[in-house]
Amino acid sequence: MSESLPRIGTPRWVKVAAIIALVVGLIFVILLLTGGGAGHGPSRHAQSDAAVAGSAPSVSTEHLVQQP
Amino acid sequence: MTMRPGVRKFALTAHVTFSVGWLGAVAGSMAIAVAAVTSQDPQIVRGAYLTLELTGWYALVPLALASLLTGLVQSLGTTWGLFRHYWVLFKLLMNLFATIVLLLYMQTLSFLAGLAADPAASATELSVLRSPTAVIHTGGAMLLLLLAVILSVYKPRGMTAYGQRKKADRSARQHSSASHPQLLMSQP
Repeated sequence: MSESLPRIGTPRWVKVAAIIALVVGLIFVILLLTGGGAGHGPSRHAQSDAAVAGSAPSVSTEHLVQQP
Repeated sequence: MTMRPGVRKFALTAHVTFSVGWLGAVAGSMAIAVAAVTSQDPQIVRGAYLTLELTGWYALVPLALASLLTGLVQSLGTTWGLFRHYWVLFKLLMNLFATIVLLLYMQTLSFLAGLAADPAASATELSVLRSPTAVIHTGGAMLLLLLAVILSVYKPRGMTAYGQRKKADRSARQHSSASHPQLLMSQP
């Protein structure tokens, strides 16, 4: 038979941190949806600069970097 | 499954080394990113992005993954657990978030480095390199990793509901063993 210890509530710092994380996350999502934020991936450059998006790098960087 | 003290110290040393190393690599990347945005010399801007890409693939990504892996070993191999304490849970979530964002941003960095390495790139194309995204990403990573360090040192109190249940179960087992000594004979 297990003893039931009184459940301790969630600490205040956890609630505050969770609220901050939620707000930051919402801002991040809004920025992504509105296209004004920093997206992740080369495709976002297609929106900001059509000239860049139309021309792929003519010089490969393979000779510089061996990607894992 | 709890690690022996010697193994636990080794795992802790590995985790601290990789995590603080990750923080250091981010700090260095941030300095390079700032130089890329503020410098008026195109050669420095080009070189900065080439350096950022190399640093990313050969320092940031390995250190991030090593920090995550050793953190999992540390939590699962000790009584702290992975989901029992809020500070551990927060560290896990921050590490996962930072690692995922890093892996996604490396695609952008590789693209920008390719642009920087192209001697035929036009001024319009190179203007993309003036974007402050690298500074924003490294700044965000610094903030998260500093928060992780603070949580690691201060270890603020607070057990999750799952942690409290596990603690209650352990207390019940210990109480039961104390009440019935003969049960100790059968325990490993």
